Amino acid sequence: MRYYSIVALLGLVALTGCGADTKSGEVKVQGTVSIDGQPVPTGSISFVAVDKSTPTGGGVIKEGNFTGYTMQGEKKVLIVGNKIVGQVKLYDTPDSGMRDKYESIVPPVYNAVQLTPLTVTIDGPRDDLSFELDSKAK
Amino acid sequence: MVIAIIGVLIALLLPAVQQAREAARRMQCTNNLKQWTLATHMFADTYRDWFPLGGMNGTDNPTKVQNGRSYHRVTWAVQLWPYIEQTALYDQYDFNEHFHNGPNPATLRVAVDGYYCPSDKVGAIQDQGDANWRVLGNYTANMGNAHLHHTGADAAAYLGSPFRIRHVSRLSEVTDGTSNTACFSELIIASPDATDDSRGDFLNNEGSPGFMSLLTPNASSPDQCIQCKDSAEDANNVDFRRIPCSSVGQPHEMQMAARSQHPGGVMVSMCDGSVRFVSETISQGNWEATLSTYGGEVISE
Repeated sequence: MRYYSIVALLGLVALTGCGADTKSGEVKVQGTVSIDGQPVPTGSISFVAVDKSTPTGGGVIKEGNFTGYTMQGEKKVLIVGNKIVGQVKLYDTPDSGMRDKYESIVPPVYNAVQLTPLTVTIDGPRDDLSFELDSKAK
Repeated sequence: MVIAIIGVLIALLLPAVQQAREAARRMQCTNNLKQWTLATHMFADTYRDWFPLGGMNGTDNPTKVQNGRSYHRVTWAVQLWPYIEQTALYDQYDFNEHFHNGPNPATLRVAVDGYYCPSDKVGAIQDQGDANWRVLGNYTANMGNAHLHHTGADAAAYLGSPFRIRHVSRLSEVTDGTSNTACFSELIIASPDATDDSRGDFLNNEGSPGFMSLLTPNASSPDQCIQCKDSAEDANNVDFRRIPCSSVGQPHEMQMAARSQHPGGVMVSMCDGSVRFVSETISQGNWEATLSTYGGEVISE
């Protein structure tokens, strides 16, 4: 009988042992980002709580589409967008390796939490978010 | 029956042993963070109130900064060598050259114990086929609520940080209190034996010398680096949930979160030398308050 109680105790430990404080409250968000009607080739998107009361979420933009994860709530949206324009040296040495050269195409106003005009309310998983940017935005 | 009991006991013990190992690794990681922070204090004693320079970039070198000294491309770690008992490396290093020139690359190929968190990839180095390969490391300095190089918007919102690129800060500037302000934290070495990801390249001013409060610890929002490995940009890869990344061209777009292999959060050393665990569920507001040196915020938890 005693052994059954040990087993029961083990079961209890197994059930309660993993209540760790993780970011399990995040939801998956997907959508599109374009500038002047053209898809943003590569970049990132961040969702910062308007009252800064949650961790910050976000995702990666590829060919105008993004996939990311964020906590729910009212968010300010930050976007960085680049296009690849050839290659550039990693170091100023003769034997330096090369990397892709990126050129920023999204105005800096979209990448500062106090300036960005973009907001969204996330109240669950979304796959239909759409952000249209203006290259002349200030 | 006896065997069954032994089985039960082993089952009980095994996961606990694994947890104990991680706890031990985390303790060692905590110690490393403490050493870097104490080294910073010894530096500030020697150089009258100045923090080490977070890093110097490659424009107009040598560049004179607020402490009256001039620098070529370098990061904070090299300046702290004498205070972590690496005087021999320090003596070999030539501060009149960039980190990738002269005698300097040889000094950056020594895998010092204190560079690595035992929970991550101890001893990790870059691809030795690369002419400029270096060792990697897990530790990273607090660069506050701004990108690696500040944008105009960053400059307007900046609330101070112990470390910066091209600028030095003073210990006496930490008016939020040294016990309330982060000094160092950790990140995950993204790509050992390669040169396709900047994270871990903490000896390079354009690698991962700093972490920022723009992203909360272990954020789902991507780091923005000069180089990101493909898997970290791919939403279908496991790396996307651990070390998400997006490549950018300019240092004023670069930002990196504190990230770690410890379950649920990161270790952070405060400027008074204490080290604490910060949960990845910390709010954006509290994280900004923890990283700022003179923000005057109340950290509410």
